Amino acid sequence: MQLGQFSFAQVQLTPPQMFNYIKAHRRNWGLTQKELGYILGFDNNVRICQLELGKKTPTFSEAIIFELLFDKAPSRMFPDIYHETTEMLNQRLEPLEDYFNEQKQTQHTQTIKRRLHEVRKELTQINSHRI
Amino acid sequence: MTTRPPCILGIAVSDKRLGYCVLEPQGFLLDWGVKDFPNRKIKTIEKLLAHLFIFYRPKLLILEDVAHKTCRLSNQNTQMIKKIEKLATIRLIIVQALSWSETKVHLCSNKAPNSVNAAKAVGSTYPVLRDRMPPARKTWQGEHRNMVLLKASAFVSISTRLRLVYCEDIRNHIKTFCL
Repeated sequence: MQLGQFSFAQVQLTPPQMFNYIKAHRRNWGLTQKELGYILGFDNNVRICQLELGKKTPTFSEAIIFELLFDKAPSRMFPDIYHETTEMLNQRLEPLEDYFNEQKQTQHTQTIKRRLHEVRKELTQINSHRI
Repeated sequence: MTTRPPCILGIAVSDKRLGYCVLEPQGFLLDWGVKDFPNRKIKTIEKLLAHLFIFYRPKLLILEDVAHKTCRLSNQNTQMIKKIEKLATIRLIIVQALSWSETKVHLCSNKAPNSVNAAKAVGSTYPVLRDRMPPARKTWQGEHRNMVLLKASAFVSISTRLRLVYCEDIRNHIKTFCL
């Protein structure tokens, strides 16, 4: 198993419509898309519309702004993206664990293996709760 | 742990328009609105329903009970509700029918069970819908555009009170067990 085989493009991160809570929070606040767009630093509502419909994934700074505005962590604000990411991570960690099994067993590799196993266990638990 | 709670979708139909309301069981409103469909084009409705079903993935759909003796919907609206029910069943969404007259009685516990008082009760439960409250109408005036939205919200509101989601869950488990 070669680590070079992994590529980010292999896993489709963004299906057409990823659920998020932007619209719900925006409407509960009584803001328009243009107003929220202004908060994010845009002149129009295009970006907010794309984010609300789940057609685009938010940038890191946008996720932080949403957290500060609506007091909701990105993992809860964008549950579908969160679950897709955990699934992708789980898929990528599995061959990595095999890779370290094939390597010469040192204290260092065993520590990595133990940590990988713990993370994968947690990820499996998270994905089992998905609707 | 981020587990997205299953949401409930309420739909009410009137002449030329459809009101919808999406609610999480904790009482958080996800989406609401009124969609006009002039000339009764079913494609407009199908497009909206497809978006609601795919994006929110509701577990339960609440519609008006057209078979109830007090139902006063026209034949066209009854047909529309049946079509919506069919579309939801295809997507494996549990459909629950509630009578509008009984919903009004549940919502207007101390007042006269009419649409205005039911709308006020919904407005007090969900403050974001207060802006959509229709003004008191005269006898010669037609129903306000927003009434259909408040009707959908009333269905959803009453479903959480009656804990329909959990009842349906149990019913499904029993069905699976019997099969």
